[in-house]
Amino acid sequence: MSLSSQEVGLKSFPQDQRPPVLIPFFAFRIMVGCGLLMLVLAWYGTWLGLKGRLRQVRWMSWCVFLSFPLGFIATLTGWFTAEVGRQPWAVYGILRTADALTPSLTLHQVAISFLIFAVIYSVIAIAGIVYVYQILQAGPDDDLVQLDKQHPVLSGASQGAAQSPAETSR
Amino acid sequence: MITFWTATLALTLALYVILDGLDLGVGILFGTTRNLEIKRQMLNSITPVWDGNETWLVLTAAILFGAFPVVYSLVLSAFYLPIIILLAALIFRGVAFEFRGKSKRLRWFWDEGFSYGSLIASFVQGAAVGAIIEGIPNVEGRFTGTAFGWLTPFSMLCGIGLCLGYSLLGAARPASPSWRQRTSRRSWNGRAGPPSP
Repeated sequence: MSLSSQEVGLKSFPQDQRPPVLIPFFAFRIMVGCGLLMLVLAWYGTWLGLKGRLRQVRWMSWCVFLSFPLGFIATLTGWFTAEVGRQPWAVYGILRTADALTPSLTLHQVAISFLIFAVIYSVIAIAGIVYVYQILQAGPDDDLVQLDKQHPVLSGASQGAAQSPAETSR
Repeated sequence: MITFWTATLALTLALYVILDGLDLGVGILFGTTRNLEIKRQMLNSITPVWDGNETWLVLTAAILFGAFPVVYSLVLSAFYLPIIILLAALIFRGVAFEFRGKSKRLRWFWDEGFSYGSLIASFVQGAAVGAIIEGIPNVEGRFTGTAFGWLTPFSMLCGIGLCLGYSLLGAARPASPSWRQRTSRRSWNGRAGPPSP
């Protein structure tokens, strides 16, 4: 290890052992971006909450509301990064993906099974997104309202509580 | 070592058949009633345990993969289509637990997915066992049969037999209101164990 040591990069490998670069390149950055966005939302939300202004900053509520797919997107793009990035190997250095094909498998069988999974996952993903959206639209349930009473600072309700005496005195 | 892994495989397979067989049986019987209250009770009676029971199948496959790779490759090659069907059925069965309560217009769809998913999964498992008993055509561990070679009158009989067997297990699941209350998520976490009669 030294300051001048060379980083092992893509060009250290022969051409026929490199994965397609475009997909992992963008998938990885989208994944990390989603993670950073979620961190920013969490930290800024915590900061707003500590200041008791979480409920007052409306654009922040919108950001949190619209951020619900971020975790799913990060999971999927991370998966793309790993699966495309490991090509052309099924087992690194031992078995290439091209050689890993089951001999008895036909194109028809693979196409049909791929189609089945694509349809099922599409149906379930669409339904899941609709249901998550409906839950978000319905707003917080009783548990969270209870949380407001127990931890007014964290939930940002303290501002309202602090204001009310001032309002009554006016 | 072989004895150990064979015994472990037998144990996980037996646990899977007994435990998830019960869930699948409840799922099959789920489709036989239109009464929404009974449907709810049936589903609630397995909600806390079904995913744990199903995990024994994962362990069974993992043992095959790690300890008996030749068998694993042969079985997966021979049963490619039935395993795809099995997975599809199990997916529809699994999401029904989460989605049917959230849905109003489409609840019938998830309900059908739950009962047909259970039925198809049970049938495919039984048919696969039947096909294994009949023997998988191979040369030195490499599958030489066809895509639908597993579907024979005998294997179909085994599939139907397993559906009936699982239904019997499912029917033995107590689903009275008191049982239902005790198996709801909250009380299950609080105190485990069967309810006092």
